[in-house]
Amino acid sequence: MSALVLVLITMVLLIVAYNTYGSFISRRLGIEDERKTPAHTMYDGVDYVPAKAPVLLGHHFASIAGAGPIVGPIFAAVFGWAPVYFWLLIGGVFIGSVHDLSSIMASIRHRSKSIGEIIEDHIGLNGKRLFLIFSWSALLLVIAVFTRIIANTFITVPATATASVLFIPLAVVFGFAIYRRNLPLGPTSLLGVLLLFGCIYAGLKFPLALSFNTWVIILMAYVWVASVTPVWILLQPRDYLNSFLLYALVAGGVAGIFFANPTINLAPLTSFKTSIGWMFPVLFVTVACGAISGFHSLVASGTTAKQLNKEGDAKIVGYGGMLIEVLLAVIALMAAATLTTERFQEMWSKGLYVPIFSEGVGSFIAQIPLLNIPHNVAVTFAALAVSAFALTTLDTCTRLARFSFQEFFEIAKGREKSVLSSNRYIGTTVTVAFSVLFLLSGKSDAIWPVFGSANQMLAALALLAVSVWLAKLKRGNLYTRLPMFFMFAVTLTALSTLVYQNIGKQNYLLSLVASLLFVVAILLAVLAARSLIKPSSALATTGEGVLTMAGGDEEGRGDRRR
Amino acid sequence: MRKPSVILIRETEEQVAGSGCCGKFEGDFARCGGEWVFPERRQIKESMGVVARWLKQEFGDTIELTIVDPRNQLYLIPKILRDVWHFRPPALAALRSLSMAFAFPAVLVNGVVKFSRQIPSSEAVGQAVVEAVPIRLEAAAVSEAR
Repeated sequence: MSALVLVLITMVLLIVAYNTYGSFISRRLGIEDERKTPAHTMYDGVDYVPAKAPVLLGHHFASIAGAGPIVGPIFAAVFGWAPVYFWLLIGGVFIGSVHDLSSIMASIRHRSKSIGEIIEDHIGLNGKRLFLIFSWSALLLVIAVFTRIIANTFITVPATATASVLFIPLAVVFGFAIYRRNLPLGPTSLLGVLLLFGCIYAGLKFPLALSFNTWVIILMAYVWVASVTPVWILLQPRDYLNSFLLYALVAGGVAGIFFANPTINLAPLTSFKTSIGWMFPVLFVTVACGAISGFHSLVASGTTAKQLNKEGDAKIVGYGGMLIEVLLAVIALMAAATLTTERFQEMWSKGLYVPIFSEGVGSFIAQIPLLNIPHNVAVTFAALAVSAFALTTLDTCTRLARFSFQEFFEIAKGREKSVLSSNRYIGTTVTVAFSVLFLLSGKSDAIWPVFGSANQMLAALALLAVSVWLAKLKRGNLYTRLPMFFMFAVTLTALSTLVYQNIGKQNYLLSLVASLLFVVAILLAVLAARSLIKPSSALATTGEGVLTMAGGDEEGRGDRRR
Repeated sequence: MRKPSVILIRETEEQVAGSGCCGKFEGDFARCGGEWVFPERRQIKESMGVVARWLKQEFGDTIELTIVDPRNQLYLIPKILRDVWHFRPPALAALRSLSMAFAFPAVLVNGVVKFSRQIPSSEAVGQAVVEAVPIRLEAAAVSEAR
């Protein structure tokens, strides 16, 4: 079967879904263009600024796309391409996009408060503590799994190792030029992009071949340093270069698939049970970002909700943005599906998820006429792009985990500062140390599903919050309630089977963290449901579907939080 | 007649690309432990907010005000292209805008870079708008009187 035909069919189906189910959900959510959004009622020119839909769509898509929607589908393709494809399509249209759109709507009807803030407001400090434990554990898993993925990529494509190592000082110099010397953005960016290709060239000329353990030590040292370094030195400038990589990768992948017209060689269905477990629930937790991701609710209800010009724009940004991500995930899947089953299995068993992607997409890009990009350059470029996203994920998550660690101890001490809550080095060292323990406790195929379950649990919690909100408005909520039950069923089944599975494989630490996530998730869900459903809750519904909190007026200005 | 276009370019205090949905400094995570993760960006954003509020108050809907993050290239680059196409500024000014030969924070009026690597005063931006297209002369007069 032609991958191009499948991509074209996907595009048509997504457009149809957007105009049918997307419109249906918009109507059910009571979206009205006449109702003023917080961007207008709370306008301050800083956070609350009406922005045109394309501005927000560009921002929203860049925010939700990254290594997740690329690695997840390739990881799950061990079941065959067809189940992954159908989960991406069905999950994306009926669950993921509904989750993102309804999160935005719930947020703007709560004066653009984030889902996290809404839940935190109503479940109190205990909930906050549980949430911090939950997120810290999940972040450790992310660090462990991405360290493994990057190390494996560097071993398999050593040119990428050199390019990625050079990319870091390039970002530092770029940051110094942009943020400290205030050099012009366009020419400096152009130079940065040219040097980026210089990194690829240097990588091809001088590939860096080191052992797995050496890379793990280097990467752990890197995340330790990167997460305590001021953000303008590395994190911010890399953001620019990453955005170029993201756009170039998406454009190259789409154009390449059109010109290359590759054939799908991977078997549509290999087995219902693989080395990572049964298709249910594993498929549904390993493919997260491309179908549904809990982190999207945190993004959707942040900047996006504060800048929505009119309610109708929520559809293109929330529902449409997620459908574009589905397309990105389908392209990642096609990159894997064009390999033969034997080649795929061979690479997959070694944890080479990024090389699978780069080999596929690299061969697409190499066939774009006029550009005449050599195959090895295209493969290295694709691997560098995903590695750069994965490295960004690594140090971002280390910093986030450190923040969670510090905040947990700050709350435990009644908001008093202690050495555990104020010393960045302690928080970082503990985080890195535990990540190494996770990393040593199992291969990527054991860690990724546990991380995926944690991510999907967030989605279930966000759907719970939205469902309760809709119920209080006496509106039908079957379209959020069914996905919520499904996601709870998936994640709780996944976590409980992962506990059992990892005990069998003597991965006791992973088993322990899966148990912890299971218990914390149940407690969080119970706390959230009880406090949101409780009639005496500070949450009250006014007419017209505006929820007001204690201390807020009907327009919701009283409890304004930035 | 097309409304004058004012673009305020400043970074938001958040991470944008690369980390995907595995956790990033945005939304709920733009602040950690009560502090902004990107305090300098936040400060600049708030200062540009003062300019935005003033422009909205003075010119209302008579201008097209866009506030955008320079990393949002999918929107920013076509927007500058459109403004240059519609307002036809002098060649050198157009070249400067199109090549993004400016540092942020920056202000573009009708496709021309008016302020670069600085946060201008609200009145200065207002003056630039009035100079670009002689609209709302009474607003300019009020500004001058101040």
